[in-house]
Amino acid sequence: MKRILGIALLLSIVYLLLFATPLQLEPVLKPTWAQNLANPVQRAQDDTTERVPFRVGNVFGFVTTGGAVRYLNTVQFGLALDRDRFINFSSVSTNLVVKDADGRIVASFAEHGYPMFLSGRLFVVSPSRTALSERDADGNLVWSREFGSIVTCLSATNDLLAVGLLDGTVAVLDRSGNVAWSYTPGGSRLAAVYGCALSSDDQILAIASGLDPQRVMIMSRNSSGYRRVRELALKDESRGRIFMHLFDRIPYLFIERPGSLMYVPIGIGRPGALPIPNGIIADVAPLAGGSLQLTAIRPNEGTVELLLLAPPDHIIGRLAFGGTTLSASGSEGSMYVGVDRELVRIDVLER
Amino acid sequence: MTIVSLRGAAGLALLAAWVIASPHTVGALDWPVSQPSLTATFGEERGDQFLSGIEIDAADPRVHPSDAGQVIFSYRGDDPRDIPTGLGDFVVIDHGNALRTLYGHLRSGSIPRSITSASPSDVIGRVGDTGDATGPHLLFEVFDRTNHESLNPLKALPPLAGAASPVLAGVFLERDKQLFELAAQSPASAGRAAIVVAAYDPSEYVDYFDPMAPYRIEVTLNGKPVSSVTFDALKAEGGKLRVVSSGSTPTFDELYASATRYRMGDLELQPGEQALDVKVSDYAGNVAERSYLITVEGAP
Repeated sequence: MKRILGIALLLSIVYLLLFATPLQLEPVLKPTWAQNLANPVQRAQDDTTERVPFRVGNVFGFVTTGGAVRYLNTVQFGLALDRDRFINFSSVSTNLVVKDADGRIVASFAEHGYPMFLSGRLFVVSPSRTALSERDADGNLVWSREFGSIVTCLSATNDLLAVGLLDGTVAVLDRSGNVAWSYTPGGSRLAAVYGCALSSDDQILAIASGLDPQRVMIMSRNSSGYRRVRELALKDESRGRIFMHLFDRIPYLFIERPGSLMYVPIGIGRPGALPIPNGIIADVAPLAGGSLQLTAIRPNEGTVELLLLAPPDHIIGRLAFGGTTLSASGSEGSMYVGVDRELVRIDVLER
Repeated sequence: MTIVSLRGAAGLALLAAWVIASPHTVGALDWPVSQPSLTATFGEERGDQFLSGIEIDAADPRVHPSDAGQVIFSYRGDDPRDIPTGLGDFVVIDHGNALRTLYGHLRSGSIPRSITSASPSDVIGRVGDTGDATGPHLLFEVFDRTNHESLNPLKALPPLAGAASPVLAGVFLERDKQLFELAAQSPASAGRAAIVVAAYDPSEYVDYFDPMAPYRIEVTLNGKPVSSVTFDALKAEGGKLRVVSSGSTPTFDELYASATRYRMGDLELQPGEQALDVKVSDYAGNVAERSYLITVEGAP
């Protein structure tokens, strides 16, 4: 008997030393405050200065972490929204005005096009969607380029800009707007690029291209550009933009598909998919701590859903709302969730 | 024969010559709407860019593919993360012969959700005013995917008869950023001068002034060609879109002095009498032409 107990104890110690892993802490989602954007309550006691941008349907602005709505406006035709500035523009804009989180003008410039903030950089797309330019923080022109083909996707890092074109080419531009590398995936009966994603360190480039078959390629940077390291075919071919995501320290490529979020390991490993039944993915974004927030809309059911994921597909939190629009932005362990006209701060606490 | 009939016959003859000289096959594509009214032509000024297609009004808003093909791309403007566009809701169809066509400014919600292929009898959307359109119309573009060019759709569509001639509003010499309009007989000093032609093709389908770009502008001096531009195609080279034609291949900034004024290169004016001829043609083969006698004095 003693011998059996001794062996059991020894095995337990060996197990604890070699195989035991800490229990995964489940997050607790704690609503902190809520604002009705149709009639926001002024919070005079809030003296927090950090502004968090938000866009909920056709309304946008900046809110403090304490819940004070510091700027609120309606989107004209389009909106370029960054962490601390925005450009609200009309469909026939010929003069673009950059404003800060309090609505003060910080720069303006004359250009016939539509602005986008990507990785903190300001780009302007021509109305024909065949030309791009970049502006600096003061609105000065850095470069401009005409492609002669419709731009279908963009992905920017600090140093590079990947441009996907309808003619089936991907061009990677440097900070001067010169083509540092270009690639035509080929291999499909109909050539077109539908999605592109650059990792923030420029080491990985993902491309979704072609019809019959439609394929995703994961490419790794080398001395001459990028080389293909992985490729897979997509079922349910899309004929519009395919949103793909690469996040820091998360070794997966995420691909938004109809009714699911697909994930592909950057290295070896099998792809998988998280089903989002009857849902249309609105966005996927990283949260502090390595988790992801996924927002989905179910128009047929009149509901919207926010999922917290431990990558790649483990749901660790879920919130559902009645509504038709949903947006979420993250900041330091909190989410700012907009549902129709409501904006809610939800803190993500580990239990 | 009446004068109108003579003009019509001459116009048809010119149109036939234009068709024969065209690098693309007229009639290869069908008009995407019934009873089309042309309101903007290929190459027209659009702010600081060329219009890379044509704009069409239609009494019947149903839009059909110009030819059978596969839907290669569609945009419905329903994801705020996507790249904003002045094209509005649009569809691109691949016709399997290097040609792709684009149908823009479609009415919101009118593009069928599951459309993958289309025949000319299908409805792929309805004429709308999405994007940067200031009124309902269809933007129609043609791409040659092999040569990476935007083609003038009028060279592939059945011809629209147009009786109205293009308007040659004036011809100018430009020196030191100053414009001097030429009269039938004008003095000028010797030396280099840029030539600027003011011209447009009036749309006869609308009841307001709607100057469209002409199809071709040709300048000759003393019977010798100086410059010409023909809006056959546009192609990006070195990051800039250029007119592709048998004549000059200018960028937008090189060509357009303003919405209806075209920079047609430089003249070297030698002392003596110089005969300048300017001819403007529209897509239907109508022509406006003027001759100028320039008396050039001084040393070059």
